[in-house]
Amino acid sequence: MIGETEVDGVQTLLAPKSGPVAAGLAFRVGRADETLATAGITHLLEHLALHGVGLGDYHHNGATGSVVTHFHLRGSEDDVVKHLMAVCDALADLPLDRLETEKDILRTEAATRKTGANESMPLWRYGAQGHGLVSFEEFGLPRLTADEVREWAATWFTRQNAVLWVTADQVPAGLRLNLPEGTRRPVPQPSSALPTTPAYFTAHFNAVVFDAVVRRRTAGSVFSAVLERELYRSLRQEGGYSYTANASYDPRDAGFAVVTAFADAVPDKQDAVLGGFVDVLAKLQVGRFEQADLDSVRTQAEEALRHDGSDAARLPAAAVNALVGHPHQTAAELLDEVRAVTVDDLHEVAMETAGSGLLLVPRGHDAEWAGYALAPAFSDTVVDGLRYQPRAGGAARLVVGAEGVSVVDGDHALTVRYAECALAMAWPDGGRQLIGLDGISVRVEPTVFPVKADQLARIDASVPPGNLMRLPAREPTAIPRPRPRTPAAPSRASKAGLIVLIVLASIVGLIAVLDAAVILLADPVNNPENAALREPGSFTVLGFLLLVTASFVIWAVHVARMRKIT
Amino acid sequence: MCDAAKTGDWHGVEAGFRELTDPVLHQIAIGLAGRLLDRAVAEEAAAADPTSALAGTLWAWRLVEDGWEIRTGAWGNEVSAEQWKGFRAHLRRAEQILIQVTARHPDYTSAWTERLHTARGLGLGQAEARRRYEKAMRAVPHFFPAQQVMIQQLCPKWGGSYDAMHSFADECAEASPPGSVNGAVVALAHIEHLLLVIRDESAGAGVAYLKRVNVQEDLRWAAEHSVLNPAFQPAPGWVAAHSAFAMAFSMGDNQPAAAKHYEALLAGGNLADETPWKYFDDQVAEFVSLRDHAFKKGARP
Repeated sequence: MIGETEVDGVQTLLAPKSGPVAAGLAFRVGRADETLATAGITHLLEHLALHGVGLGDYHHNGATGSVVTHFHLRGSEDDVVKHLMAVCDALADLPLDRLETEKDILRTEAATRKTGANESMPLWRYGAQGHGLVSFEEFGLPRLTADEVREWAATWFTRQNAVLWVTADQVPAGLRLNLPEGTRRPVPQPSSALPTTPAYFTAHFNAVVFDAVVRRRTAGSVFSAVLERELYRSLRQEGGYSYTANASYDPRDAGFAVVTAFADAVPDKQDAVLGGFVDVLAKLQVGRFEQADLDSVRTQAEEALRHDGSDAARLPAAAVNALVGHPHQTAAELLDEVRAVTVDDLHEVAMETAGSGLLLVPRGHDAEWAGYALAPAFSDTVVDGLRYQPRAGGAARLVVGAEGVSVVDGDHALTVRYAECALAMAWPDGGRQLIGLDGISVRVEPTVFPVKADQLARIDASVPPGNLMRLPAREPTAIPRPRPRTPAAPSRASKAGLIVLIVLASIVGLIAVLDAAVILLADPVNNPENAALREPGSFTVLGFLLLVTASFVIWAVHVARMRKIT
Repeated sequence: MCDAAKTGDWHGVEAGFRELTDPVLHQIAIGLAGRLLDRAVAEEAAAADPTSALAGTLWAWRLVEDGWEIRTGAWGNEVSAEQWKGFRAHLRRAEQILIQVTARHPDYTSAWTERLHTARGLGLGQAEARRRYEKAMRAVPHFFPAQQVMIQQLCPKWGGSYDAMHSFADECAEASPPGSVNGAVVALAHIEHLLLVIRDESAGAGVAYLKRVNVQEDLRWAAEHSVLNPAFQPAPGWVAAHSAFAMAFSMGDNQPAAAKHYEALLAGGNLADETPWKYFDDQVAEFVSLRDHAFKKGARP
């Protein structure tokens, strides 16, 4: 039985186990609560809170998740008291002199962290906001200030927004949790970057990944375990196309969970992994489940729940459930549910995954043949504004307008509207990168497109103020260099063209002037031979000459302008 | 069953297929009924019973056939963008129906064979085709129709190679019991090779290829291991097997060898299989003329 009490107003869950005490303090805040412009702030806070409590002889750690941030440790009761009180003290009085150092540490941590294929899924499902932010780097770090971090701590790391769990019968003596007052924060509503599902996208991974959003229920986690067995059997044991094949069930909020399935692939077997993957999903979606799989998954789940320390082992998950508002269930209730799962229940989950599925396909392959729609990697619209052609020539055009920026290349366009700009990065060399809430990114590079400073200033002034991030100078190698011009030929040609046009305009213009003079000076009364010059036909010729002159002038002006832009 | 198919009598078609317990015969009948059946009848039958393997497979077969009608059999670079689009749309639809059929009926070799066709047309890749082939083989070892499609898949024009195609053919023949039809895949592989040599070089070069000693030896061994083996009993696919050997030997100007296969087809009831003869514009006339030539030059056995 998991017992419940309170420590200084913090909801507390207790369940005893033998051996050292484990405990954790969890807060309902995570990367999904950030924005792209503040991405990393929770992780930074977690580091700052743990900075002063580093070197004990017990094991402890911090973890910043999508919706929960967790400080946990294993040691003596005394360690638990000291550690958690130190964490709370640090949260109340953050060692902000450490801010820049901890940022550096986080950057190092990020550089050594390997981003897996699974982590790229949320970006495609949710975009560059909310739950999608876990796919992104901690972009906000450079611009985060001490004030912002303090404000973040006061908003999210409060006693109402925390849950404590301890693997003991009662709260260790002397434990006080000195946290500020606040409120329990709801989990952010999921955004969507997918107009239709099932959808797929391609990425440079030697793997196939599938994920789907399903209603939270015991049958969902059983389904995921059965899916893992099917994938392993089909892709590894029978086919030998994959080394790793697995599936997981991760609660997202109170009502929904994400089922994620992964299979790696050697390069020349990617197509077979994709095909086998599609067939495994199809098998379950038509309701064909192996009873033996269901039985063994159920047995494993039952064993885990009947285990002596099962309540204690469930404490971290119970804390997360309490924080996201998912009703608490006893081991007995869960056991009943696991035992009650039928093939029909699993089939229902499978159908739900079919409807909401997102598939990552290795680059060079597609999944349209299997009924998946291509997830949007491009924008539907292009903004109006000044169009720039690349300095080095080419079909691409950059558009800088009042509403946003676009890059157009052939049939494809990328657009970020200022109002929906999640982050605008600005470098002293003039480079800009705008990332939209939908995850689409546009780079404005003055070395590539001849964008003037006034237009860069216009971009900076148009994006939401908090989302503009001025960064220090980039490494010179990070600044794109336009391909060297093919030996000045295009420029000379356009210069020659311009001269020819000016000469032509001058010649025709001169003829027109002479013609006009002849007509005006004609004196049909005294000199009847000149009478023809005053006839309508002569005026038509004059009009024509003037028109041709005007055309050459307009053409020349246009060429001159294009030269300026390129 | 064919009459039922012609008149759109779905129950009659189903009843006919129920009697076809041999998987090779079943697969051959899919092509026959698919051609005679109105597409709407197959589509309605599949809609009425989404779990029916037969209805789904026949419907998909028709979609693939209609897709090829749009694409035409021309070499890939002569097919217009519009034609490719229509072709792919038909094949994708067929594939999605077949995914459901094989998900429900993993041992239904006719659907797996059709999925080899869709995999090839949609360019899904060699490893994926091989996976589908293995699925068919797991259900029915030495399943000849799937081997016939794999030869196409493995030939260079569909992204394979001569080496891969010939070694696959040899493996199929060697692994098959003496007297079985599978040895004919060796002949099919050499015919595919011939076509590409004709396309890339000349008709003369093609014939020269088939005349090579090692090719003739390969064909002779395969024929003697399969349809000319004393253990041979006419089994479903035997007409296609003899037809393939007859064409390969005829084109390689080995008339005595060709005559044996024509003779068997004649004795069996004056039969022939479209595969691989459909490569000729007028397959019937070519067959008759090459057969007459073989009988004249090669002496009827």
